[in-house]
Amino acid sequence: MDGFVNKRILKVDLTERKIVIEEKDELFYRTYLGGKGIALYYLLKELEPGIDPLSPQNVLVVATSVLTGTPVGTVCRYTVAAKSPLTGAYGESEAGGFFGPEMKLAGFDAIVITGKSDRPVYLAIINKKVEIREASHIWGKITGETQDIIRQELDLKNARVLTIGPGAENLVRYACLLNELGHANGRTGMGAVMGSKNLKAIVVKGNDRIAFAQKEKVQEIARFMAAEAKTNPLSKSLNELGTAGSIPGKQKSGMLPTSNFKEGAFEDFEKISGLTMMNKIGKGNKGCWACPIRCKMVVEVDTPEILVDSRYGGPEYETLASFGSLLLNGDLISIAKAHELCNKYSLDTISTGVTIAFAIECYEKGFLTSSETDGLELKYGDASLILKLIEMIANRQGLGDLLAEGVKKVSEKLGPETKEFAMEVKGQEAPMHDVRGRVSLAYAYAFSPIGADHLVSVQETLVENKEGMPFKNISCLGILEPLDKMEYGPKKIRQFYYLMNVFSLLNTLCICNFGVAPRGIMPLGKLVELVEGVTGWQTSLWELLKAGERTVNMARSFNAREGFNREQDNLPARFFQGMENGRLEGLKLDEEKFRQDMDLLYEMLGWDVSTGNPKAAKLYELGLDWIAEETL
Amino acid sequence: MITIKFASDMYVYTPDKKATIALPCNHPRPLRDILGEVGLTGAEIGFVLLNNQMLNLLSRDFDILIQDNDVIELYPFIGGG
Repeated sequence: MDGFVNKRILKVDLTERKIVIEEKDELFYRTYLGGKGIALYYLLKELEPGIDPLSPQNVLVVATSVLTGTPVGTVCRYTVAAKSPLTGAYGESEAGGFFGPEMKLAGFDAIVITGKSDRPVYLAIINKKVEIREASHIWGKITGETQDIIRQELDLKNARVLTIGPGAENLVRYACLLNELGHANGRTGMGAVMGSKNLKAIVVKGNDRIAFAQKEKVQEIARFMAAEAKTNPLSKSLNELGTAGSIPGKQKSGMLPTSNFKEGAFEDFEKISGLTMMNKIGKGNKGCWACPIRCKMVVEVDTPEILVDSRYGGPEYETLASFGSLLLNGDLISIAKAHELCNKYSLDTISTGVTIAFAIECYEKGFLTSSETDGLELKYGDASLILKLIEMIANRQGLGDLLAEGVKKVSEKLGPETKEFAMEVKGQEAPMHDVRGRVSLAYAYAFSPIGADHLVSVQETLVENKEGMPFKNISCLGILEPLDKMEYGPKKIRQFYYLMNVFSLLNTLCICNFGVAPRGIMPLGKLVELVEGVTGWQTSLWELLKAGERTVNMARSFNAREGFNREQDNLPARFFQGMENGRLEGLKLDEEKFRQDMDLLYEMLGWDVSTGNPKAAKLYELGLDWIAEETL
Repeated sequence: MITIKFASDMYVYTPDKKATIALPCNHPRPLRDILGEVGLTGAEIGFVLLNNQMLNLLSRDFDILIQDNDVIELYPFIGGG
């Protein structure tokens, strides 16, 4: 390509089998940068509010960024976005791996998919050539087989395949997509949207090269990342156990979600720790495009009783907790198998685990009876039950058909009393982080446009050590005092707001959290240098953070059009009740302070406090005149 | 003796990837100094348990005096990713 982007967006109408290439100018890229910025641009322009997310009218966007494909570690992600079938709101999920850079080198910065094919198809994009190919012969197959067959029939061993499995074909509302079988766009049911379009996979292969404005600057930053990855405290240990290393810290701090978030400590935590996992069934680690950190742990089990295929990677922290402590399951092998099954069927491991936990509690409390569970006795700590339910959910068999709808819809069916322990926000199941020990995380879960999400802003546990690298990394934002994780009030809201713009920027630029401050090794100043080196723009942290804030406002504007307002910025009732064990036993969120802080957050954002949605003036300030004028 | 436990992946900071190190304690000294003796600056640590109590690292607890028979547990950062 002539520069750092193709300036080409691929638009595919599957109903009409029509392919259009839209050209974009540099102003577009400098305004929206990539990832969720580009995705939201198309969703706001081309998606009609009020449509059924599983109808042909939904718009599915796969987007890279101005940095994607840069040979710098952690700059390799891409976004998949659409209206979510799980929440009815904006849906988005990022993944690493290899698909994003390859897609860009194949000739397109983003793909916008509309309509629905009358039969299963897949999209092949090989060096700018786009083809809609038949997929009836792979419909119904698991992700691994799908990848193998497609590579074989295209005679491209190294083609990158983004695919769905049977769970997404069966429209499980929290179905995901996978590339390389182990990198998941996990959240908000984007796989189900793809399944609803009869689109089995997107395959990319490209031999193009990116032309950087300042090649030497980019190479210097790539060398910096490679060197830092081996020594920096923020990456050094990730290479050992990945996110799975978090289990003991979560346990000892009393924040390991246990028994559907009733508790914060699990007595068998050591049986499911990252260290135990790698000692017992570890088979090395893998990484993403150009990344020296290599935080993806791989496991394998090959016994007469059970096989776990290492091609599907291995469970990360979220999966170890969602199929482990959350379900009182200390059987590590079953967690590894649950992870493998979810990747084969393309199910989000967080939502699957939380939905099973909810079903167990419903059964314990009599809201589900054996007549509705196909005779299954739902109980905690039953490893074989978990594996059986995953199969039933993916195939929508029996009780699985109900659980495939997700916690919110199951709760609505079983009665209002179950809402008390339905661990979801806006319909998305809570990740494996208990907000009672961290106030910022409570704001994040409530505020997030996609429903409960732990990557909206910083978690205080990361930045409360004044001597720690993450805290030092945010001083350039003017955050000069660490705050207690249980502190409420203006200082905490300010910290949340500033860091929300940083996290939003990272998703817009398609960068991993382990790449850039506060959690990653690249200081924010160097990120500015990287953007300058790649694009040739004379930019600043101010301009980039405004781009992060822009996408926060675009996502909120999308939700406002769908009828969302601050009433949905709520939390499960359980978080306002005391934890039942562990170091934080008895601790609960202060509801009054939480609500006061949410008021302040909307005000600080320049939004309408009564609706919790952006005001026209804020949209104008961010250069989003076209959204403001539609809203007025 | 002072016992230092390197929880989870914190063993990467010990010479032989040991999970536990014992240090002699002839006199009480600040946590900061103890960490320095095992090659740490504090920048690597998510949180610290001292005799199973969580320390407050917001400002001052790196100066807390460590006594004979104390057990220090070092944990990695939590959050993100």
